[in-house]
Amino acid sequence: MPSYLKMKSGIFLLLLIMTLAACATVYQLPAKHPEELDLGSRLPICTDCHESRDDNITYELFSHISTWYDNHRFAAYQQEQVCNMCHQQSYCNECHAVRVELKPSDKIPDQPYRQMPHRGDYLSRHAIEGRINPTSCFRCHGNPKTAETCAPCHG
Amino acid sequence: MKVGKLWVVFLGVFLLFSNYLDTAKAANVSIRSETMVRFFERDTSSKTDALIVPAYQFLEIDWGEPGINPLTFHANAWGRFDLTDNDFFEDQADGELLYGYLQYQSVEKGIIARLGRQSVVAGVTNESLNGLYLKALFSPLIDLSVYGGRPVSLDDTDGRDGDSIYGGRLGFRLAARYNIGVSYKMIKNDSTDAEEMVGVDFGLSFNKLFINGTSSYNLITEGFAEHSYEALFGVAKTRFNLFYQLFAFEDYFGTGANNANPFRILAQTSEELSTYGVDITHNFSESVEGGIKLARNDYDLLGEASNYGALTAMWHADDLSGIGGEFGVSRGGENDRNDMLLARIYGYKEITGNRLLDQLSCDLLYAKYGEPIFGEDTSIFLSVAGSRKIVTNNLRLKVSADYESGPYFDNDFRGMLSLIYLYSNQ
Repeated sequence: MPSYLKMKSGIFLLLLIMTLAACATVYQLPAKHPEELDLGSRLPICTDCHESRDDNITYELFSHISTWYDNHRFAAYQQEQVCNMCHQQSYCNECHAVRVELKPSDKIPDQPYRQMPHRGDYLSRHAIEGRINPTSCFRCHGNPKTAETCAPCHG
Repeated sequence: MKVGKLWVVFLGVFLLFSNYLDTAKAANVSIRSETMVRFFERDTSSKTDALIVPAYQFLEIDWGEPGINPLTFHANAWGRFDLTDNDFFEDQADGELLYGYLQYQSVEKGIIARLGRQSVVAGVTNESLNGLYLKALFSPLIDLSVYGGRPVSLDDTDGRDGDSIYGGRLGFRLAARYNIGVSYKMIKNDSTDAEEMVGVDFGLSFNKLFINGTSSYNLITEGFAEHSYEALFGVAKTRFNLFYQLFAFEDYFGTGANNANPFRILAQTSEELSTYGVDITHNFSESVEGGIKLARNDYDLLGEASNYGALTAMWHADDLSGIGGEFGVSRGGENDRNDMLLARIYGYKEITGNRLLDQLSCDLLYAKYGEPIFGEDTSIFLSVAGSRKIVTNNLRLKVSADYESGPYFDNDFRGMLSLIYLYSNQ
């Protein structure tokens, strides 16, 4: 398809979305968690107060159990609005960002319960973990900008 | 972008908003500033054990509150200034605007629109871009998000002419029970196709069983890049998370001009890696949780496999205090170089009535490697951090010290001093 047609199709699609959305009145998740949560250092377990799911949220998926750090990918992909009810984008950026020089665990050494990645002597461990499963490295370091961290040794 | 320019743009936008202060007074404004000075010794091109003292400034601004104010502004950036005169940071960027965007959100209409630098997560997309993002909910059943702009990841690669990124995700959902999304992403570098992916993701829930998954297809290499699935279910106070992932290296790492080392070479193989295992967690009480992690990684062509097993434990008090730890073992089959033992214990404590500190934390990590790395087969890391508020709750001073000894560093000490300031007109 010629590029001008792609552009026109894109503009038409955007206008269509906005028009249809302007006509629609549907249930929306609240922008913030309705109640202030005072959890201290405890990680939020949604199902302590909610059922496993209701018509709008699968609460079970968002419970921050100790393996949450490894497994929050699908929950965030499917309903990132639920994440936004408690977290600003800056919170995610502490690990997920296009260029951060400091390891998250170096920047926030006083919150060890957050299971930040690359803690301690990761320079040694990354060779082993990278050999075992390089796909997990690629998710965060797989483009020219984020791979600048790897460049001093890997070129 | 140089730090100087970055801050000018950053503050310019902020001051522009300030002109509308009268009308925007009702909006909530919050600012978080963290000024950080680090101390450590490294070898530079001209000196051995040179003292390196970088100062970092992190700044976040949130103008307005999404859901309350329809129009809001959000920005987050960092910059670094080396207080010592050496070349340690010579080849590294000295700052970055992580995001800076205007957002319009209508909760009633189900519309979110963002303009500026932002992160977009939508199906096969997890990218940072300078551009426009729109998300609309047409009905409880259908939502659509589309985006377009320039990819931040390519701003130093072959200039900016002809760089573009666009795509979107169409989602269908039946309440919270079933949802499925199809997504598309195209990245162009210098008008050449760098990455084109299409994917499907889904989440299904059956009573207390939840199944999630995603598959992505690389339209340039014409092959499936990834299949990832997980099943979660609970029995009493025990939760199980079974997972399976399959990656085809040629299609997963084969992202053209968007690719970088050390992954470029992996894209030239026809290797397939499958990863599967289970995470089990059990709540012994409201404050005690234990867990088991089991995972296996299997290489199809190489014929190598490795297993990882770990035990985890965590206890927390009602205040900001607790302890936790993990003990894990990695075994690489016949190959000792992938063997590793990892042990970690951490603790943190809220302290009341102490003049020096009101929070203290400690983290100890020990690793033993199957094969020596640079002649060393163990490493140890210790980090101690303390902080206290100064004058008001909005100002906090944090001090931390790290010790590390292992293959790369021999008795390495590092220190950090940081001052965190929070402002909110709430």
